[in-house]
Amino acid sequence: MNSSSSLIALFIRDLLRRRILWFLVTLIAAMVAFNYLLAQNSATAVEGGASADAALHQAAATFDQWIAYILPRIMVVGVVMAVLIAPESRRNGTTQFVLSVPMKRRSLAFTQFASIAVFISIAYMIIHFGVAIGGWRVGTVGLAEAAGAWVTLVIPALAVSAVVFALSLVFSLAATLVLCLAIPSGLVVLTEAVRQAEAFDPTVPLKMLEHAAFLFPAWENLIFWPRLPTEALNMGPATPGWGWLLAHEVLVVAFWVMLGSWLYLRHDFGSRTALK
Amino acid sequence: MSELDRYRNRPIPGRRPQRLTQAASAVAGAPTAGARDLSPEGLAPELIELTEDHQQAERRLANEHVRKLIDAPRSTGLQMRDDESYDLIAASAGADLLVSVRDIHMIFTTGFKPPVHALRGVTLSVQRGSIMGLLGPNGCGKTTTLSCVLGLLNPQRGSIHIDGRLVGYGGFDGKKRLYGVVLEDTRLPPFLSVAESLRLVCSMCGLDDFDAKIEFEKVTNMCEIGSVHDRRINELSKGQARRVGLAAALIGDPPLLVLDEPSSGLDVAARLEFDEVLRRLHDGKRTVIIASHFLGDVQNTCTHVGVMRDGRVKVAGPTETLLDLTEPTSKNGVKSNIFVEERFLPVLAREGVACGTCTYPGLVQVLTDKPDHLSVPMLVNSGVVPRRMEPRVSLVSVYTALINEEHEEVPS
Repeated sequence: MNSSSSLIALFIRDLLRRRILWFLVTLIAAMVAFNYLLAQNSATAVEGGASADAALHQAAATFDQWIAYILPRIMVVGVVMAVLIAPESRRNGTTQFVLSVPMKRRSLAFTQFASIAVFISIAYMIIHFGVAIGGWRVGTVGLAEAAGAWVTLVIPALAVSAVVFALSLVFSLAATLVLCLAIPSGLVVLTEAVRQAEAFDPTVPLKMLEHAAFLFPAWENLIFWPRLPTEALNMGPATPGWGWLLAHEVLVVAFWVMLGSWLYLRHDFGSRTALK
Repeated sequence: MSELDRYRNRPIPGRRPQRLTQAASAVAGAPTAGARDLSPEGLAPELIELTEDHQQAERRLANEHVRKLIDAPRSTGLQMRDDESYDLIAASAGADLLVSVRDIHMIFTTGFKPPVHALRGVTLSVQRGSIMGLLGPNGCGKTTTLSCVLGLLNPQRGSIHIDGRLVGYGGFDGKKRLYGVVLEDTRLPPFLSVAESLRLVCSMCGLDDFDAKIEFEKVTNMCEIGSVHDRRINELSKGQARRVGLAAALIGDPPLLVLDEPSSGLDVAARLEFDEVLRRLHDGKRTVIIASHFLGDVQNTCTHVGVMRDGRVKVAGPTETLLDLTEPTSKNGVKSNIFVEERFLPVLAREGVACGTCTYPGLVQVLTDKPDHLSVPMLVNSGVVPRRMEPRVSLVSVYTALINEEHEEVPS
């Protein structure tokens, strides 16, 4: 094994030791529950006297409803997982040890991200399979659609994870979660609150909030999940908004990753530096 | 104005060495104030010849000045100025330096607290093949200096070279391992076993399976950790963990070994064992830097010593030189406090050797003013075997004079 693969194996082992498997098991349980509740929904409709077609139609509607709820929140899984490795590695001294072997900082960061990316991909695969099977059973997701949609889910998830991971290389777990989860969510809530405000003219605050939100990744508009509609593949010059959205997301991710990397290269990893 | 200052500022017809030194320092990017960089590498090549006699004179005066500082009674209040420091290693003619630290400044800023200026222009030279002991009170910047050398911290100013390579952002990543490190806390992944940790370091050093196996056996034997192979790092005692850390640091046979307070937290037996391992490592090829509070250990183990205070290396030089500065007569022979078992009292009385009580149970101190090379054979010829010897001229007096505070050491 070369040094990178040894380090990836080390960090995977560290994550397993910290019971990341339980997190994945919880996701599997959640997907089983999702499918069970979907089947129950259909069965309840049939028991209520609805025809099989109507029950299936109702279940499909419920499925879409649930997906609409899950989709804006699906990146939370990647955010929570991506923050698990770097702060803990600094805390237990593995980072300092690896740097003192010596290993280059960028090599260390790469191996850490590669390790966590394995688990993030597995986590999204579990979610995707769970949801796709449910969708296939209610007839709203085809197998080919599900296979294509997987890509549009996992790539944005890894991009968001990269942002979170880059920041967690220097910030504590709590600070990273505030920056990557609390602030973007807070901006969404605040924007909605200001939009509904009647006591004042919301134009200026709304513009400010929208500009602030522009700094954070928002992949929801680009995720065709759990099914990749064929018309999405035909998007392109005819729908220029799609390209701009993608460019924006790429730039936002690049901005945060570069900022995190820049801070990381200048970060103090003294043997007695307060560990975060 | 001190004698040294007067010397530095004196006009020299035709030569103007002061100006030459400054110009040369400027050429080499070395500091012109504070630490005196007297090394040949700190001067432009064409200026070395011109300033050689100046260097010799300056070295002699530096030695005398340090001696005065050390010998001066505390009541005189003679102290080193804050900006004063002497690098007697770089000043040595033809010094082959493995580590060269030049005027590094490190300022820590944490949140809204006022910034801490931890290093205020550290200049330190470490000769290839030497064991350098870095001494100083808590908070003087020993660990910070070592962290900068290792690239874990990025100093705001100054430069560090290891084997001619500039230590910069991101650390080293080469085929050949440049240094091994034992930090105060072992920092090996706590969830790995000893064998797994060492194999991991082997693979991180780029050793193939065959070389890794050989290296593994070598460091295991060297540090005597064969009995704890299967135990996890977090299950080891401090002494064992420190030896495992040392074994990990030795993998790849790095030319430089950096040990940050390797004896701290160890009991006396573990400390002696660790020191013994360290002594075995000194083969003249490997360079070791040790930050420690145990002056006795440093004196016994280190060939060179640097004394730090307030974020500066005040004096760095060969241990012998510093001890000679303390007691120039020691050239006539080292004098030690000799302790023998009480049962030898009748023999000593018969030989007319006076004895006194001491704090060691069952031992008495031989009261003699002869140097060791005379007193020890005399005792042995009488059938008395010294049980314990402690150098009378010790680093404690150097340390106390330079740091201007008493040193408390755990008795061994």
